[in-house]
Amino acid sequence: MKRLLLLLLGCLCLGGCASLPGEERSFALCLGVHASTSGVEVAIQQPNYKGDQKYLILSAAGDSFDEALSSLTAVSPSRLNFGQLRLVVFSQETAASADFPQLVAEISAIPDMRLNAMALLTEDSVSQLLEALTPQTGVRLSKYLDTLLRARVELGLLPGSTLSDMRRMGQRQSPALGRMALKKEGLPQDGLDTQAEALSAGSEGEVIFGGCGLIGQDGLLHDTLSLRETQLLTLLLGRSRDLPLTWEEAAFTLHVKELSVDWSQGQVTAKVVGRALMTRGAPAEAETLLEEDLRALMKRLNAASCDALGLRRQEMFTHPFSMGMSVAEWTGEMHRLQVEAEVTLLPQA
Amino acid sequence: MNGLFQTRTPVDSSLSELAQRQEAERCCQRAELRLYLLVTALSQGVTVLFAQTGAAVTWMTPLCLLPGLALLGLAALCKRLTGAPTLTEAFRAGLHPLAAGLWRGYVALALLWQGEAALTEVVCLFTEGVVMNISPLGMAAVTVATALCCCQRKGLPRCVWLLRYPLLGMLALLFFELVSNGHWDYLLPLTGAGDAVNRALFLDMTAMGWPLVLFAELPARAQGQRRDTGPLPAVLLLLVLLGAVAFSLPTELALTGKKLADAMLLPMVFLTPVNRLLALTGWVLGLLLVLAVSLRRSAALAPGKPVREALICLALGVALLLPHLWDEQRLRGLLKLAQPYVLLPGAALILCLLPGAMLRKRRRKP
Amino acid sequence: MAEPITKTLAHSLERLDALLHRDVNTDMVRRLLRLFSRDAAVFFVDGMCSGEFLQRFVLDPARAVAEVPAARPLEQAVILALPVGDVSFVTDFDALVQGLVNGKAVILVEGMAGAVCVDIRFFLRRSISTPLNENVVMGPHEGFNETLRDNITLLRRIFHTPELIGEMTTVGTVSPVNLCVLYLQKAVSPVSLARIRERLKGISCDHVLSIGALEQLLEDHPFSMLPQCVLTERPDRAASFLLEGQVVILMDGAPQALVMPVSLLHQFHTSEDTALRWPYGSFLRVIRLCGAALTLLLPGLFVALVLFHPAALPVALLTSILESQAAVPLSIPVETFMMLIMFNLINEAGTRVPGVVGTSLGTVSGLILGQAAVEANLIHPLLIIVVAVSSLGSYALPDYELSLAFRMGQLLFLLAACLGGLYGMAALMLVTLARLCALTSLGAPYLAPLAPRRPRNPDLLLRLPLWRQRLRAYLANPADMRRASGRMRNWRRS
Repeated sequence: MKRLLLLLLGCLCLGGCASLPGEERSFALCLGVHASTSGVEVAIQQPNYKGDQKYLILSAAGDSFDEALSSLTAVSPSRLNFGQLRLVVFSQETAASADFPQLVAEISAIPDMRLNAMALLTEDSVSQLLEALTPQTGVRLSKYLDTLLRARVELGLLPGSTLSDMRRMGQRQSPALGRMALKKEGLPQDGLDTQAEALSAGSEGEVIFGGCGLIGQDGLLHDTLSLRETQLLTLLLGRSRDLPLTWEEAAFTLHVKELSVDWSQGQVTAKVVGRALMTRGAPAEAETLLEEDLRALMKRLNAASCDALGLRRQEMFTHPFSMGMSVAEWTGEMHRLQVEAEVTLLPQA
Repeated sequence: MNGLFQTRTPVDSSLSELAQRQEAERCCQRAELRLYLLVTALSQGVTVLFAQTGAAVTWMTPLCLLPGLALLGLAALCKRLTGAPTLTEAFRAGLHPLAAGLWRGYVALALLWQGEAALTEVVCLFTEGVVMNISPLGMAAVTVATALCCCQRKGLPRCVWLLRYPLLGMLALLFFELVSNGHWDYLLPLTGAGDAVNRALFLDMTAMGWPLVLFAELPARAQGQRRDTGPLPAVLLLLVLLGAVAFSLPTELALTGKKLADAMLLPMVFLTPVNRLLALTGWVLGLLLVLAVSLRRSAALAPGKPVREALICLALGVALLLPHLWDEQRLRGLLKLAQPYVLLPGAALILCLLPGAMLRKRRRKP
Repeated sequence: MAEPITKTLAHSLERLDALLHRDVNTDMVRRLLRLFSRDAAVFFVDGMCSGEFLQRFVLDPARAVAEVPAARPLEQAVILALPVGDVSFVTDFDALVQGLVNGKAVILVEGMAGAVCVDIRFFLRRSISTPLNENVVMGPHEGFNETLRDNITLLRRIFHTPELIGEMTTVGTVSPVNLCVLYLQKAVSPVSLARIRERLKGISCDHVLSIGALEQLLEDHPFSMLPQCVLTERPDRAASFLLEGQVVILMDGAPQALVMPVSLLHQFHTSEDTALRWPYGSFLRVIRLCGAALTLLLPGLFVALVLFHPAALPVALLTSILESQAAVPLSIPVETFMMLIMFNLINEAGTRVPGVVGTSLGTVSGLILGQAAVEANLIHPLLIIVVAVSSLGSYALPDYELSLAFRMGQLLFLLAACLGGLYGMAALMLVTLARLCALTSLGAPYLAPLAPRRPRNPDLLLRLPLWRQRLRAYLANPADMRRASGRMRNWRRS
């Protein structure tokens, strides 16, 4: 019996040797997708292991995402792998089209896909954007993107939503996707102090990152936010604790101590308690400005039916035995929501 | 120097030494059964309960384990009434040696069924989930061969005992990642996919806790030894893990996994790559252990060497046959067909034993 | 039935000449003399007896009583006439020949139905020197040599007690070899001792060439890849095993002691662990265990991660690997196998060639060949680091046989990694562990006291304080498990 077993294992080992996985693989670091009525265009950026050129940009088009990806695989010098993906860029046109949720599902279902890749939106051509996305000398693109994106999220300039968030949240919470653009076009820079502005403009070569697009309950893009609104959104999401905020009348760095966003029937209330390190203006003035902007932001979110703050999650606790409201009902409820913001700024110790 | 070995302080007689060694072997056996219970129930919890009811898995799991627990309680009562160390002995003492044979046959068949389910899951995982360059035939043969190599009478329980801390460490790591990604609202709605689905599923899954009856086969503890917790740690761990899975994924997403491989992989999809790899490796190890334990225990129940070898040949035959039957839905359908009835013969046998055991107790009293 | 020695000297001489093949065996010397007014003869093997001792303790006393009539029974008179400590009387030719080939001088006298064996052995031997393969920084520096008597003496010098029992026995039917089975009377497990005696008695072969051969004849699972005995050339290590209740076997001509039964973890322990303070001892042990894990798993892990699970590697490392791999014409598994075979080749060549040349060979092969292979784009540079680290791990293992087992296991794990990635390695690990748990050494579980659980000291994976180690190993006599009653540090700090 033992000999039989050994023989069997030996045969299997010999058989298995013939089916070793291929070593020639390309690890895509960035994926760009643009879908329009004429078809889907897919572009990837991957390290080039053989030639002088450090990174390769490959692009392909097709009637559907699958078809475009197949074409891309065909033109790729080696087998494509998305296990090290850092960035997924969708054109805003794609995010606004009805196929967007299906597209996200298809991308997430790619074998070995790294779902922790950050999802961003752009108004520019995705291929051009990837071409322009080159790191400073001596830094690998992956490391460069990791550092840069983390810094942007900490500053509140990007909401930091990933493919994983988009897949997992389902219809319980809407994602707010960050934005990126070619530098020549630029993004709205209103309200940033000099430090943040320098970070935004200086370090990332030909591409700048900041702002966000609001995905509604239907899974489509409905609106975009400016840099300061994005900062306030990340503040309400609890993702950044120290924010440099600037208005004409006041400027300060806010260190958040307490934060709550509470939903009750027909109303949403945001409460922020923090310490403000004032560089310009008085705390009372800053409180008023912040309250007004937070109210305006929440109204915009509700108008776009973007439940980025996870209000529906709170609503579900009122119906623990069922899914509660349908998507349409919740969208209507969001449009009707009253918003309230209370900000308390403590003096710097 | 003399002080080191000339201080003669007898601490144990050779009899208590023997008792200690027997207790150590019992610990290994118990660890093996706990792992068996944990992996089989976790597998069914994830691939059936969670995939079909979502958040309701948190309360459906203990509910589905209840019949098994009740049967274990009855078995323990029968053992106490007859004064037998194992349930097989209780059948022999309380009813008839033939009843003991029937009970052994039932356990062996149930073990083989469970082993077959584990084999299907491994093959499915590798050919359709973690797609590797291997055919179903190759995968089935490798799995069975590996399990047969692990089939050591004393080695396998000891191996499980040895692996308990590494496995627990791995589970703790995964638990923390699942929980850190979770939201309380993912535990809602409490009814999951709805009452009708839950009711149907409960009837199908009554046998989820059938491995609990295997604990009745463990020899009774010796006089003066600590009372052991039996299957309780495994049951608690199971509930904690399934709770963490439910806590990390919304019901809507859970209900999308239609295929077995998708359902198995779903709780791991959102883990970091290293933890995903760890979870998959642990999952495969667990299933391999289930298959090996099934083969070992059913072979140990076989009355003689020819039957034992026939069992091994049967396992090899199934491994070779499996790919030709390979249609996931059909195979799963076959396994599922038997699922609701796995516990029934055992329950019937134990219910028959109960009056016999009571009579024997009455006879023993005078 | 052994042939008895008769009273007729002529017959005995004739018989002995035939038995010793004296017509061709020229170093079997016979010297005729007179003793107590009778004809006598002394036999000895040239080179195994001291000429000076023969003259002083046999020939000179014999001359003094050459023509003196015997006042007592002849055998008593002969024994009393010889001023030697170790004199014995044998009555059959088998015992006589055995004594002779063991280096004793044998005296036959006309009218005496037997022979007197006189121990005047003296042969060339290696002096006690530093152990060659078990070096330590702290602790004694003497090792066993090839002489059984010296080795027993080394142990007797450690244990000044009659509790140390040394049972002399032989193995081999045609050419028996002397063995000594040593144990501490109170500590040893009677079961283990009985098993050893039974197995030694059951060995039936013409000659046992070495202690390694004896190990193979005694072990429980001859087909297992792991050694089930410990071979040590350090008396202090052998002594520590004796204290734990294990049995030590010394063999004539072997500079190592064979220890049975042992567990796998015993093979990671060195005598230095105990000599050093517990934090240092524990640290060294952890390093050794890490070395073992690296030896066994690192090449396999490297291949599994690069080939099958690239997502689990940091992208910078992966890119660096793939960039350099792009220039190499061989695949990663082939490269890794090649490198490991090369390493084993260098190791074996270094062991076989003489001392200094061996060291140079290792350096030349390692540095120059490795450098050349990288420059010729035959080998991936990171792979050299992987193989070097895993090889270092194998050198950290204190037991040579265990190190060989781990090096073979390394190739198996690499094969498993090439076939199934981490899943393949995990499956192989499971099989290995299950088999390891089923393994026994002299009937004792090989992985105890971990699996199954046994009473134990905190001296297993770590070497925790000495004063907490009150128990012997689980292999000891269960009736006397404690090494100390009460506290070991039975004093108060003033």
